[in-house]
Amino acid sequence: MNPPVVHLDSVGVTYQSRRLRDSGTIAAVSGVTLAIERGQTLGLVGESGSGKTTLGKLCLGMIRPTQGTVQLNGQPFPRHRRELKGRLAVVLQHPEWALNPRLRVGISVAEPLSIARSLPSGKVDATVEDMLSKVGLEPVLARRYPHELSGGQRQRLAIARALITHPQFVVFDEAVSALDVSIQSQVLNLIKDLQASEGFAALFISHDIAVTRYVAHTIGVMYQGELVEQAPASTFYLKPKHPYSRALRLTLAEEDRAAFTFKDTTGSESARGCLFSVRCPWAVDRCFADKPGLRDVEGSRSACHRAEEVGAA
Amino acid sequence: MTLLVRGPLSELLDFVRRDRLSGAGAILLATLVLLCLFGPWLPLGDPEEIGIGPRLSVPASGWLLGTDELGRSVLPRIVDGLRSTFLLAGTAVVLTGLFGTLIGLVAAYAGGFVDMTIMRLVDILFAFPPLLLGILIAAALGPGGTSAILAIALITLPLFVRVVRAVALSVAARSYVIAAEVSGAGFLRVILVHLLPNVLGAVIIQLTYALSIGMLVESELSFLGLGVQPPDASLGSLLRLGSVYLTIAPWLVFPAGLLLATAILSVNLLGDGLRDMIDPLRGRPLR
Repeated sequence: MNPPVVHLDSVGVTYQSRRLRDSGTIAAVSGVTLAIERGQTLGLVGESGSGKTTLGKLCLGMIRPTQGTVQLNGQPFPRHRRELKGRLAVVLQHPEWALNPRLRVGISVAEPLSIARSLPSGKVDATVEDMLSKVGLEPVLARRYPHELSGGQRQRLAIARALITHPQFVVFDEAVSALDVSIQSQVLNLIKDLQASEGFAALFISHDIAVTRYVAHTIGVMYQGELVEQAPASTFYLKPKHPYSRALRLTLAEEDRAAFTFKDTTGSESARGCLFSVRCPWAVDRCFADKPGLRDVEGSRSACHRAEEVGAA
Repeated sequence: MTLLVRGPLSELLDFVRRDRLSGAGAILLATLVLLCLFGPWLPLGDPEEIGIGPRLSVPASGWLLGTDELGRSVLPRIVDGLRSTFLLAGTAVVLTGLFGTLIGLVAAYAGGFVDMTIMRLVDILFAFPPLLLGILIAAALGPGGTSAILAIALITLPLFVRVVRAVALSVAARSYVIAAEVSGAGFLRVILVHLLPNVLGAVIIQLTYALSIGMLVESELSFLGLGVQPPDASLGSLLRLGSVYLTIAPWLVFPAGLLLATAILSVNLLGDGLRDMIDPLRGRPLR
């Protein structure tokens, strides 16, 4: 059996606090273990500051973990990124800065090819035109400048640039969050279709669990730097096994953000127990004393002492 | 990019129409530069010919702005002086632009220790009062055009580096730079392809400010006798020589001073206009 495209093994990133008197460390991500297989999408959800983007950067090798290991096809990252030869790519949030405003978009889309030098220069133009039609754009757009295009078109071009080297792994970090709803669904469908034809593994980061529902095969929920639940998408949206996931899902079902009634208590976490305990309506004494680890619960993995009860509710 | 589509001339006309004050500055500056370039061929007279008229004569038909203590015509001399001022300040500012942009980009993108070292050196340079730095350099290298150029370049450099670094930092956080890094783009590619073209707008604005500061500093140094040496003249040295006869021959000082003020004003107006054009909060963005 092939190793997963991306494999994180109990990965953590801690930053040393810069303040002189405060010698503490800040954990952006801690103890995350996950794997993404070829052709699969992991949807990563969680609130701002929960470590989603940091985890994305870890998977891309843009930052090194301070604990644990990150592997690409069972291998550690090469010393120089150029050796990756376009095996990794990213699509980010802001369509207005997706493309260099000084370059014709065709040049921007071709950039990963010119960096990897994987194609003779004579074939580049044809490849770019081919890629543009794959993302549903007229090939003549390659001669335009970014400010002549709409946000949706720019985001399609960012996807074209990401996929032009046929990467094995693509991170979509809030890739559709800045688009309006109708364009969002077009781009989501595009990503889904392209994954079906190209077979890349993907990490799809979003704060919006309605969006991940369309594209993800597996859902991971981040809370304060930790993965608190990981489950197949079908199971997750029916029966979340963690109180935090459950609250997230309620916002989806009731179309009512007010359903999310937890106070923001960041910083007042129980020192020894579950990070979520101070906000959790399910919390019992044990939750404040004993930190739950991820464990298998009816096909999901959940970091909650009462996962079975939460799932059944 | 509108410049490419519509041609620079129509863009310039558009600029003058939209922003009259800085358009006026641009036209004034262009006139002064042309005057300096073609001064030797204009019927102004020879700036260095002694005894063209009586000494310290009031303005008259042969010497439109009067004559100096050696009977030289003042008008060609101030045109000549303006050319020296432009030339020295301009050369220095080109040096500042080249090195300032390079250093600012490297500091911003390399970050960490390199950034810190560069910025602390820049801070040290910043701490010198401009004129003191000029005098130090003149003392070390001897007074003259070269040390004036070096002084102006070093005086305008710190602010330039800071501005370029600040803009480059914000550009470096944009998605297209991160996407390029993920694809494996190296240091040089990111700096040359992605950062440089996107800080050029700020660089051009900063160049105009550096030029006006440079012209002022050049005049100060020449006024103190540390800039160009006789028989060459710059506006600063003309002001110093003229100040001796201020009470009996004010035409030696006032036209030169007025010309210097006008030149610096025109550069500043142009700079303000360019800033308004590029600043997204105050007008349409220049892409």
